[in-house]
Amino acid sequence: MYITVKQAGSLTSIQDDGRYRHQGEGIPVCGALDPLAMKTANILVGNPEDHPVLECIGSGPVLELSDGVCFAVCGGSFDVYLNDEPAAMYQVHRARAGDRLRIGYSSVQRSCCIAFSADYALEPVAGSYSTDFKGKTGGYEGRKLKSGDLLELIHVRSQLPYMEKRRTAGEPVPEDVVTLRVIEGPNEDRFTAEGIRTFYSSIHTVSAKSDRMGYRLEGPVIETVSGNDILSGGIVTGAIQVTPQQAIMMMADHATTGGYAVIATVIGADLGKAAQCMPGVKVRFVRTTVEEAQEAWKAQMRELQDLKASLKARGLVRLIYKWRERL
Amino acid sequence: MEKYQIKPYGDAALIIQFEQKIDPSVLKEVTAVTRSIRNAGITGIRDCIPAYASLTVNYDPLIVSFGDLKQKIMSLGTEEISTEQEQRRIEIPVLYGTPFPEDLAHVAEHAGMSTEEVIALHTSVDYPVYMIGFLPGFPYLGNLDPRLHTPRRKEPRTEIPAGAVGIGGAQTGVYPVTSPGGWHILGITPLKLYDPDAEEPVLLKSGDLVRFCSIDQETYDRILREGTACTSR
Repeated sequence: MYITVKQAGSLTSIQDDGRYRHQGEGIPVCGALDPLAMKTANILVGNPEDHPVLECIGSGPVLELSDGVCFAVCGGSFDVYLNDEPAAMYQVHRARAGDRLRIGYSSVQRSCCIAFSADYALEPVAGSYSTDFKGKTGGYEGRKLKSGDLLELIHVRSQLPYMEKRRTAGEPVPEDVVTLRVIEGPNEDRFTAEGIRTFYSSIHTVSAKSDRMGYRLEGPVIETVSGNDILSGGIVTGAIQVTPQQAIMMMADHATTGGYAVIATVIGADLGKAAQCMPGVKVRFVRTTVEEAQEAWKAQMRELQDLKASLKARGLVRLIYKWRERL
Repeated sequence: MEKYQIKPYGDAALIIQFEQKIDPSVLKEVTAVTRSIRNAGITGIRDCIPAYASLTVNYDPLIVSFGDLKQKIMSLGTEEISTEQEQRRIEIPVLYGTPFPEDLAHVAEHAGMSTEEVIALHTSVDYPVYMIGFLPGFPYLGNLDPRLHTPRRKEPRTEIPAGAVGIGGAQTGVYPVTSPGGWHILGITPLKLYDPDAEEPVLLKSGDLVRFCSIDQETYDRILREGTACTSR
């Protein structure tokens, strides 16, 4: 079956869990901005959790579906319509041949992910389907979607068992001031005690100058011991680099290396929350330990595994759906 | 590896820090430690990013915790690290003076020499690859002759073609993908430093030695056609 892109939206692209094993060669990870949203949408429609999804940023696309397929939309709060009827997020819907799926615009959050119960007829690049905009590779022709594009889906499952169970609670509505947990450093020794105090006690505002590579933060100048430059080194998603003007929180498309001191790094469990922050959103940072951070991540992943287990078809149901898939 | 400082870098990576300087001896250590970790085949490691004086190791915290991974890395034998490994030497053929002959002329004028002398000097030494980063396959090369150090262009170009070989300040390097940039472009190589569809998408690795060699248009066209590297000097 095919998805015809009637309107592309502002930044719609294919993303998965990202491209690993090649960062030492300068190849960025990319992947969904909000990994939890991607995983949840995939699990709801019965896909492997790191399956490629359509990530929508800003205003979403209008998609025409040539055949029946199930889908779920997860992530920031967006308006979703199936043939002009509102369709709830965090819930699986069944589309029929000729249906139109439309994702609106979110003024409060940044991205959402659409998962279809099917595979994209695309070849992974270096083990990943994620679109690498800078390397112009991966995803669909290495670029964002534009109207007129035709995406081919294979192994389509137009029906799924336990439809009534295929829903879950969305991510909580963001607080007025978003609290993000960080691990200090690794370059905390490049800052004065006053600089560190400034960083943790201040409210930072996400700037309009933010994209999939990084979010600039407006806030007070953070005092360094002797300048912001370090010998260029590896960058991880969530790293907060401090330039002489401002701090920048590195996001999925960040370059693999950078030359500014990293004062702290957002923990995995809070990356989705960080990614959803729109320009103007206020954030503050609190320190945690690696042990606590890894526990928080494991707890999130356990919830996903529980959801997955609850949707697993068993016995006769499993046989029926297996048999249907073969037809 | 007890002598290295290993710190958490968020909750899904750690960083090993070396003596903070750009120096061949540090490069050798970083390269050896990277190789040692890669060869150890520790489960849970997703990526290694070697740099001038640090090594970032990404891992999956569902598979291995920071504490366990740190222990595993610390216990890797030091004799493995000191083992001398053969350094790859890669020749990069360059059609000098293309596509921006004015840049080659500018570098020559800045150095007070002829364009032929610039080419001779640029092709006369081995450049160690300190690290790969910034763009896919972009090498941070050391050892550029100080006479060739040239401040970046005042107005960066919006598009520099893939394969462009240039000088920016004290650095020389090759643009692996078409990108904006402020370097002076000495020439262009027909080799692909980054080919996403190849089995090994990136030509250079940190620790390699790079040597540029001058080729003519005919050789450039032939290499581009046949995809084979230049062997003549």
